[in-house]
Amino acid sequence: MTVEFEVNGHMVTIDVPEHWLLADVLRNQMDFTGVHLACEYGVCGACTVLMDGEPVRSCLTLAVQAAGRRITTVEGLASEGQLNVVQQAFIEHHALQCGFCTPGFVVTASYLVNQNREMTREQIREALSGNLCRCTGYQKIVDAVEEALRRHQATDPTAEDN
Amino acid sequence: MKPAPFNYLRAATVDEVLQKLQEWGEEAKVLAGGQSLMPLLNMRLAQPRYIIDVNGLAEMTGMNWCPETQTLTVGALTRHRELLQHPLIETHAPLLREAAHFIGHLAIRSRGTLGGSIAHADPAAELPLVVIALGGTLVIQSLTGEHSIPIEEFFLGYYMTILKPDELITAVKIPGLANNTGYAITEFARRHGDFALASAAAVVTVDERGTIIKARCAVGGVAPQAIRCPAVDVSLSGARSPGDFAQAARQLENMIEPPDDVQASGEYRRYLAVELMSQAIGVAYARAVATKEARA
Ligand SMILES: Cc1cc2nc3c(=O)[nH]c(=O)nc-3n(C[C@H](O)[C@H](O)[C@H](O)COP(=O)(O)OP(=O)(O)OC[C@H]3O[C@@H](n4cnc5c(N)ncnc54)[C@H](O)[C@@H]3O)c2cc1C
Ligand code: FES
Ligand code: FES
Repeated sequence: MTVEFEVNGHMVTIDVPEHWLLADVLRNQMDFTGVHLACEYGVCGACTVLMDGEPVRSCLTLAVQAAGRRITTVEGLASEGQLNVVQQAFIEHHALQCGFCTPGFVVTASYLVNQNREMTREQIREALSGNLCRCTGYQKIVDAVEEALRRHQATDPTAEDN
Repeated sequence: MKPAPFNYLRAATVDEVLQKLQEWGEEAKVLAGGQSLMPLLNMRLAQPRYIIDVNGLAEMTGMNWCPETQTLTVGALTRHRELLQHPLIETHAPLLREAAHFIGHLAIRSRGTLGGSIAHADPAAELPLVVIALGGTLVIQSLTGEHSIPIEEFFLGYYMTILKPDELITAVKIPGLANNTGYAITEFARRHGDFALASAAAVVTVDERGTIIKARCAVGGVAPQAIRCPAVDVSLSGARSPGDFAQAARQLENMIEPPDDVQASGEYRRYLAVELMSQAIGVAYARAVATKEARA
């Protein structure tokens, strides 16, 4: 089936078998290898991408279901060589070790930042509960996301505390 | 793993879905949020020949409140995230919001649907549990017509329901809360977002003196399906203290026989169910009394 959708700001038209996963098409056909695949049943979060701005599992989404949608992978978060606020905070807080889980965390946290809400540490932990990390012990990841949210709120005039 | 090949149809109308379900029968699977079906396809535990994607169907989305019948009709495609945010849910069925909060994680709630959760019939799922406690009904369509059934008649056991291969759940009807009524869901899971080891839901109504006159309780995760607890409901009549609630919850001990499994022993699940039920009744009771006092 031929489908057309937007990936990281570019329109693509691609002919894909109907049973292929979005994750595989992003990785293998389009070279967005930041989309990591581990469990392939929705539990680990490594494959998380944004679909029309919302976090979804690309291992639980068919490529044909992306038709007409806007997909953002970890590769689409930086603009003009400038890392986004989450990516920057991950570096500064040493929020990764092996890095396998990182794209999923960064994509999910970028959604949280876009939501523009003030979040407690507990709420951040809950929001990240769908992403597993086998290295860091999570504390530094939560630190980084806390920092990213704080910086975003400080710089974004539209941020509101609701 | 990856899904085995299938033919994919992006349906445009409910009628089209019903026609294809009639034609393809057992060989077809409806794809809603995909948060339960896709893992089954990936693991090849399900290998349907046809996948019918219902995600685009406006007829199955949205909700409306009917003041005459005091009923909230919720489209089967309503996502868990919408249950958390929609003002009509907040006003008329806040128990659905509380239940959705327990479901999985952010990315699961973006996609998973109310109809899918009910059709999938996981015994530990939160939404079937609370729809049972609220006395909801399912609107089911096939080419031969539409009918409604009370949700507690829908489940047949682990992942099994009375839904026929040519039928589709299009909406769920939830009666509005009566005056002086409170609600609650409690559950225990080892980590947030895991399926619960046990869960309980209660909807109770009190009279002017703050005594329970009506209750509908349900438990999840401790039987092949979420179940109503009529013995608890009956024994709550006249209850008004935590001691009364605990005693009523103990009626569960004879009702359920959870098996041992890798997650927990049956005995532990039974203990949890009784405790969670007692807590749910307590919270529901406190809310019922609070709404009574706010009205007075
Ligand atoms: C990591 C993870 C954690 C989760 N945690 C929880 C949890 O804690 N609690 C919980 O309750 N759930 C949990 N879920 C499951 C989630 O809630 C699913 O969304 C839900 O069980 C199924 O809904 P769906 O819309 O995704 O259905 P799908 O996966 O699309 O479909 C499920 C089944 O229902 C059928 N179906 C779907 N819609 C209809 C319809 N309208 N009419 C007839 N048949 C239909 C499909 O054919 C299929 O057989 C979790 C899932 C994942 C991946
Ligand atoms: S690979 Fe998709 S959630 Fe693990
Ligand atoms: S950094 Fe290795 S899994 Fe998270």
